[in-house]
Amino acid sequence: MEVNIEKIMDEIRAGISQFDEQSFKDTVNKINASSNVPVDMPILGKAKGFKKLVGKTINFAIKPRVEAQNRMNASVSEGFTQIAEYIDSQNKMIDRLNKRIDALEKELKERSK
Amino acid sequence: MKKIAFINQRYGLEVVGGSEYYTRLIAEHLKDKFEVEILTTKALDYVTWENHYEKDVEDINGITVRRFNVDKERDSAKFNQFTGEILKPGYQRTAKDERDWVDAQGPFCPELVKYISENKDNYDLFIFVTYLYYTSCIGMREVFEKSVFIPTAHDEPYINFSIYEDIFKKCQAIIFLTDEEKEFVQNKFNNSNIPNVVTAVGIDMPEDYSVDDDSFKKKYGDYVIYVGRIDASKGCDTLFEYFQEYKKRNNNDLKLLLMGKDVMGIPEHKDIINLGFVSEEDKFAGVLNAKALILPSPFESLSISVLEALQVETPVIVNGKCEVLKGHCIKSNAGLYYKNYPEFEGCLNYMLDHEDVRLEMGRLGKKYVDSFYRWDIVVNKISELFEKAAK
Repeated sequence: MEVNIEKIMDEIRAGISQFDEQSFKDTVNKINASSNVPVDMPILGKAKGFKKLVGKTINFAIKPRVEAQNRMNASVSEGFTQIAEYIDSQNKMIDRLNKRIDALEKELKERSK
Repeated sequence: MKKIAFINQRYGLEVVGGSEYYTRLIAEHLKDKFEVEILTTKALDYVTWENHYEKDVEDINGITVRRFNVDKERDSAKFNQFTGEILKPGYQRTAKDERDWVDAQGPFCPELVKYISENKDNYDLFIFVTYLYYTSCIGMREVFEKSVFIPTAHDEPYINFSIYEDIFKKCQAIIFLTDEEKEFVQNKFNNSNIPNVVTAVGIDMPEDYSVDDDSFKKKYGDYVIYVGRIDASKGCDTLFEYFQEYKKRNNNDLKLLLMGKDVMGIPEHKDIINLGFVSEEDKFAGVLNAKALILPSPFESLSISVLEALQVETPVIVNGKCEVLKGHCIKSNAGLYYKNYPEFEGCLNYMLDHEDVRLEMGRLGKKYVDSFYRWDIVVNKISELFEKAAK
């Protein structure tokens, strides 16, 4: 059996799932687009009395629950949006810090000579 | 028979430390070819250098050991602060700073340096082991013309101090432990003109060692093992962080066994088991039964523990930021290396999920050790170099 450590390490690295930032942002957009569930929907049918009864039941029993759910959805949506913005700001800070580290390492090497 | 002296900061059967253990192994294996003495301090503790041994001269395994008092213990808090100051970017380090730093690094032992100076004609060679400490940096200045250097060097900030230049350039011969060390030192100091060899140690197995000993497997199941001082400077803080993260993410019974002196504190976790300082027999039995030996240290000059693991056909998982350790893995095809947590997890799971490959890596590891780390090869190379240097 042939064993090649570099090939095994490549295999291991390929198997590591990387955080896909774009995919996360797409998901956040989908959450934002669908977070509000409409509760006022037309009731189909011709029987006016029945439609009135269904409408009253919806207003009494279902509407408050849907509105509560929508409030929760809005909070979750806001939370995910804040996370996405935080990731953006952290990435910008990491870029700045990496540039600073590179410059300092270069200076340290020069001074150590 | 030529008379030679090894100089190391500590020496003794109970001393735990790679450089010190290496010195003892080499000295004991050369005693039939040379009249060997050890010049060392009375310190046992490598943090404070507090005087521990009482005798000035003693015999350890047939070798005369001369011990000298450490004049000043190290205050590690002050020393760390001083180190931080002179390593700050922009700080203009002076020759005095560097000399003060070496004195503070210690072990501060002017008695030993004086002995070398006053007795240089009584020895054919002085072999200084490990560049970093006062004993080598200041001691070698008394006898450049009779010095062999075993620097155990790696890329760390202190090697850039100009106070060390002379000892890398004025010695008569150098022994490098690895190809990586040789390349690093010669690139840094432009000293390829100095006669040198690359050789390390042979790997000794205890007499009671048995390849059929499965006692640890029966007791602990599947585990990986760390052998050595349990210290943040050896990467153990990261090891604990990574292993605990691994246990959160992976539902298995894998354990981490530790064998060595704890100087940093070990997190409480049901799958992290500290066995402390164990006998050689238990050490080898523990390593033999492990899925892999883990070495998280970012700075190693050789790693005897890695070679011992490979000798018993146990593959290794090492810190990939250490060129020497990574070099062992690639040259032997018997180890994996990581540079971050995902790779650490990947290496562990690879060893658990590919038993056939793991076993083959073990076999390749033994072949690697048998080819390059046998005492007859090591002793011959060193003896030839010493004979040339002593002429």
